[in-house]
Amino acid sequence: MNRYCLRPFELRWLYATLGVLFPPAPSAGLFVGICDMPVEAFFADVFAKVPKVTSVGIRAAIWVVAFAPFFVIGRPRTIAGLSPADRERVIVRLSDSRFYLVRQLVLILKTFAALLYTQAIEVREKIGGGLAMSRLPQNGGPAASGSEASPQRLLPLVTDNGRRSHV
Amino acid sequence: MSNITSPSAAPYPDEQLREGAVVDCRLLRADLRDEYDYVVIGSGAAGAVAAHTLAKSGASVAILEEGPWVKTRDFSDDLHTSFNKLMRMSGTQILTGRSFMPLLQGRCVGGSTVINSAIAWRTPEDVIESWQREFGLGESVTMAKLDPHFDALERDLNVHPVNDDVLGTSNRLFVETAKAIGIAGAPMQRYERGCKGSSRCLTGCPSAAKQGMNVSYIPWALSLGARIFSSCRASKIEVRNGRAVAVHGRAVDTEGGPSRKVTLIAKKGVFLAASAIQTPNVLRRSGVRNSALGRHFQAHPGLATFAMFDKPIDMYFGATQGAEAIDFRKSDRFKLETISMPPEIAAIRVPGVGREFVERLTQLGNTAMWVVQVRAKAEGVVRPGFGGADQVSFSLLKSDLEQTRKACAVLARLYFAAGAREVWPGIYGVPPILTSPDQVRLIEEGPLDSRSYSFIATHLFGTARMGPDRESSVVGLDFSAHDAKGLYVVDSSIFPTNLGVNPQHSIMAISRLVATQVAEA
Repeated sequence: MNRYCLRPFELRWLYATLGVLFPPAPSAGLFVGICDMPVEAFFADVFAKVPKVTSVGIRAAIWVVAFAPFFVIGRPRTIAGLSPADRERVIVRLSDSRFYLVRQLVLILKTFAALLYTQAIEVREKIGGGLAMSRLPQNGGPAASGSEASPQRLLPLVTDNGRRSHV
Repeated sequence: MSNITSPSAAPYPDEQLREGAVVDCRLLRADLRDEYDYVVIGSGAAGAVAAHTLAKSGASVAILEEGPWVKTRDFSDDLHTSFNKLMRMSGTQILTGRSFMPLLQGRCVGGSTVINSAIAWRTPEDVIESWQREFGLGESVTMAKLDPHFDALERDLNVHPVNDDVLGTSNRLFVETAKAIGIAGAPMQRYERGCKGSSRCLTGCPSAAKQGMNVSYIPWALSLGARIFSSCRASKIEVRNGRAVAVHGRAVDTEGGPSRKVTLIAKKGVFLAASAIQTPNVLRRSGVRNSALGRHFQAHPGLATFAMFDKPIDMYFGATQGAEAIDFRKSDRFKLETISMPPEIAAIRVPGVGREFVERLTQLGNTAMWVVQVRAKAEGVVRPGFGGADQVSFSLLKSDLEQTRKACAVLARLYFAAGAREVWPGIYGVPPILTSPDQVRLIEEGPLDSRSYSFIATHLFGTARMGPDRESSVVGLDFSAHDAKGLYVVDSSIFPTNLGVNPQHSIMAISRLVATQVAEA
């Protein structure tokens, strides 16, 4: 594990934040939210690959959002300690903040979260990419075909005792 | 659709390489020293064309590329993977100034041609004239000199308008609507052979149809005897007695293994084509001192807007960028284009939070994304950054933002004329969702603050400007650095200004012109 990996309390804040940004939306037929996905592993991978300055930016974003409830809605709790409705209020206010840097920090999290969220097959199918994907060449080239073709790096989701998890 | 999903019948061009033509420097077991007539730094549009032209003249050529060679077979449509494999700083590079501006630069064999949309535009004549008139370029760069090179490039790379069968709904809608309201929208001219409409230009063409340098001039140069050293960063160019004589590099991305030194002796010259951000810093590390070096950085900031329709747009089928309108380039310094950004990026710009956001996201299939490309007057500075990185300071001027605002309003009107139900301008201070043409005035009255817009920096210019004197320019009228003969700079860092059109064609033509002149001298 590299030294830039998130600590458990930072992960709790991150899950709370991302749960607001990319929740399930059953009314739209999208039953998976980003918290059903391997958030921890994804961000560990991101931290291992991006430059240090980007890692610092992501971490700063997590901390700012974590402690924002006190400044934004006057609640002396971290984002993880709020109800889902209050979390959403905080994120909405931060996203629309008059401070550019604050808006950008939320955008950083949204950007990286989108990279993870849209990897899931169910999500892709729902948001339009799935239709196009079915028409794409699979990079198999001349020699590979069928199962030999290089796999898409999409994350399948399965239901396990009523809970969704990754395989 | 069977012709789209079936694998190609022949190997991809990046698989048919001469034995020994590629040296992956990550695998070197000892320092390496080799000797060539010419050493070319960079394998993007400028470097690849120069290398091919020199190799074709019979010279021995080495190409140094900082990134790896990612083969067509290994391209992924997952943006996270693609960014890590293909892009500088894993796609997280930003320009800093009054606002942050993300910049996506290719860092792989083929450079940014692997991740761009392969749009071909000849240099506008008025731009060449201004270079001659205002920057003293004289007869060094003229349309008459460039035209034969444009012709050759267009033949080699099969430049033609997007075929109707891969135009896609978004591009078609743009062209038809633009024409209906009196804007000269048209399909783009692109470098491609057999585009399948995968809409994946930005993550590497999965069928090698896009004629990026990774599947065209680089393999062609290698077949003529050139050799490429991939995953090797140019540390410095050695200048002895006022003449470039060698390039020193170091293996990168060795994942903990030793980083071997690579020394390439250049008997006749060095061609520097590392891009307008990396080139000035390579020159600095090589001892070039000049007051214009790294200054006068220009770009074409791009801004995406979205619209939702009541019908499927399916922007993930069709040419990634397939339609454009050039009407406003001279009068208002902007160009309009279509684009199909991968869902990962599109998702970032969808308005709303929580379920409302996700519900809107599920309607992405009904959205179109059209963009503004501004010919900004602003100039920035490129400096060496912390830890060997490149640092760029760049802030837009008020006039640039006025043009941006106007361009966004034109696009919004275009969307509504095309039947859009909602337009998402993505401008802070303007409602995130517009539902009627009457609301377009809110964009026209929008803020003139770059922090209110989500620009992406595209097309980079000017940091090693060409000119007749060393006080105001870095490169002389013979395309070699004022202080180092035989050190030819051939990328867009020598352009005195930005163009207002996509620059790859101009970059390649000028590089080909220089390489031809040098080879014939």
